[in-house]
Amino acid sequence: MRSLLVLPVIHAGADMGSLDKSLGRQRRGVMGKERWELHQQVIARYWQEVETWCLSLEAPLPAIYQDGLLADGDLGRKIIQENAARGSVNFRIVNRLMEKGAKIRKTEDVLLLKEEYSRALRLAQTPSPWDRVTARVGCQFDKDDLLERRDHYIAQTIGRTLNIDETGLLFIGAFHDVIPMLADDISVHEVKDRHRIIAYYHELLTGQDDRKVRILAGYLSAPISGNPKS
Amino acid sequence: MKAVSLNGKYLYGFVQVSDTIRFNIAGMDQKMLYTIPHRDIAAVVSDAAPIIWSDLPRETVFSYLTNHQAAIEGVMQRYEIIPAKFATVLPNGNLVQQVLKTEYHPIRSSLAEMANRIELDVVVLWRDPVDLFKTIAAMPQVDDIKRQMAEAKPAQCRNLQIEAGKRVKAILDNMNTICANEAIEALSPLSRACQPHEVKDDEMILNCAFLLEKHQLDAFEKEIDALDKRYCNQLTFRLIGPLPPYSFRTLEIEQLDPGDVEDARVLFSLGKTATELEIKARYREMAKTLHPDNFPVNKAAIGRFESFNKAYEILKTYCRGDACSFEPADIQNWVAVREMKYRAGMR
Repeated sequence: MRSLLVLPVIHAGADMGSLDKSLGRQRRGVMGKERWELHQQVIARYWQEVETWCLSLEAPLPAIYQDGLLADGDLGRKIIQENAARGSVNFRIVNRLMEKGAKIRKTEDVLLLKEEYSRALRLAQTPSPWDRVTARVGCQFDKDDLLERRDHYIAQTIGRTLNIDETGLLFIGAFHDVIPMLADDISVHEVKDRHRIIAYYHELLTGQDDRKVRILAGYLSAPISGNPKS
Repeated sequence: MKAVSLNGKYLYGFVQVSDTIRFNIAGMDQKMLYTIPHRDIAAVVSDAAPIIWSDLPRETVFSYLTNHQAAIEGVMQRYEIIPAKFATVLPNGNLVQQVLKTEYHPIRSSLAEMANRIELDVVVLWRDPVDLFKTIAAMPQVDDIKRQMAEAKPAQCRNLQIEAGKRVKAILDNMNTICANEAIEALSPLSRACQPHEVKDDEMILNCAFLLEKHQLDAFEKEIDALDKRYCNQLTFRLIGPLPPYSFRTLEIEQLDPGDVEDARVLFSLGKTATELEIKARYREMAKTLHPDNFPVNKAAIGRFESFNKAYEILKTYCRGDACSFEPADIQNWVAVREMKYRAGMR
């Protein structure tokens, strides 16, 4: 049986620059000061817990699939190291897993990823601060054809390259939906429930229920239970 | 990312100063901001390596965007700034000077027009979408369908469900339009212009940028409070800003591929200089000869005519004013500034 551990990748996404941080009024900013501060803590805790969990895995993972990774081997390693050096916690964790013996595998199609990069740049150039924030966190509240095509490609790649009796680890953006597209013989374990992460972002940005935000924030920040042997 | 040197200049925007100012603000890749002046205007830049922006992952692009915004907002604390389009890097300082020199008047007039003005973005959301959908579902137009569904055969139910969905959507769209128009009508008298952005979520009623005189900020916020009360807290209003006039006056730098300009010059058989009139006359003359109607059986004629038109567009863009030079150095240094168009309506 093949197994896949799935870890949602989340982005800070709310950093709107100096003004957003200095504003004290609840109505100001994309999400208001209190939620902005909470969100920064949640992001930091989330990655801290993910790192602790990943590094506690008993045996080196034979396969790591990373959202946005175009290459494996030396080039893939270089991409991981460069992004880790640039401050990406996600890539830093992958780098540490590689140091422990894990192997990275190419995940994405070059052309689809180029399309995604161009789209990200266009979104970053839109004048609406709201659109820039939702684009940054990768919120796809509406159906996204490019995301679906990428998910299909990623699922096919995993199906083709994950060997029998192997356990892979997939780092994938929370707004992706790869799992339903995976081959039937791959047993999937969601390390964090992506639906609750999406609900968190939705509530954080558009919702009014602070209690609900705190509950979902608590879920994201909580230590990861269970420690599947790889 | 291919880093070659730090000769490049990342452009944040334009301010009205005549000196070189060194800001205590870090921008892209932690490089400090400073101005490159020309007469009484200046470009705000930091040293940068050339970046192939289209090769950067989303996370990196947005982390640079954070640097870009924070830097502009930092400058804004002391100076009014006309922002440049995110991800604008010029190959060297001379080209920045060239932009300031050749585009002095449009930059200067943008600064004058935006003086003492700020952008404030207003986002309006339904406070309780679940409750809203319950209210809509209880409306007679939808309730009627629900009753029909209760009595319908299973085969008919699907069509009725689709119809119910359409009616809910139509009611919601109508409610959103009414609320959005009311908000814009109430806030517009306090602003110089408004620029609605696309609304991408059913729960969102309005996402709109307003250009205000700085002294109108308090009055604008009071009007938001009044709207909040008018809707009995059914809506949530978010105010983002004060921001530089991103939605009303973001400038982008236009550069042409020197090879394309030279090819167009050769195609039009132009010398090392040409006037706008000369280019127009040559176009008319050549268009008569090259028009595909003259070659009814030659399919390649259409493609040739399209290339010819494209070359004309390049020459029209390149040749500003009375005359232009096609000397390689002049083509290489050609830059223009243009306003990014967001359909903003100034009043």
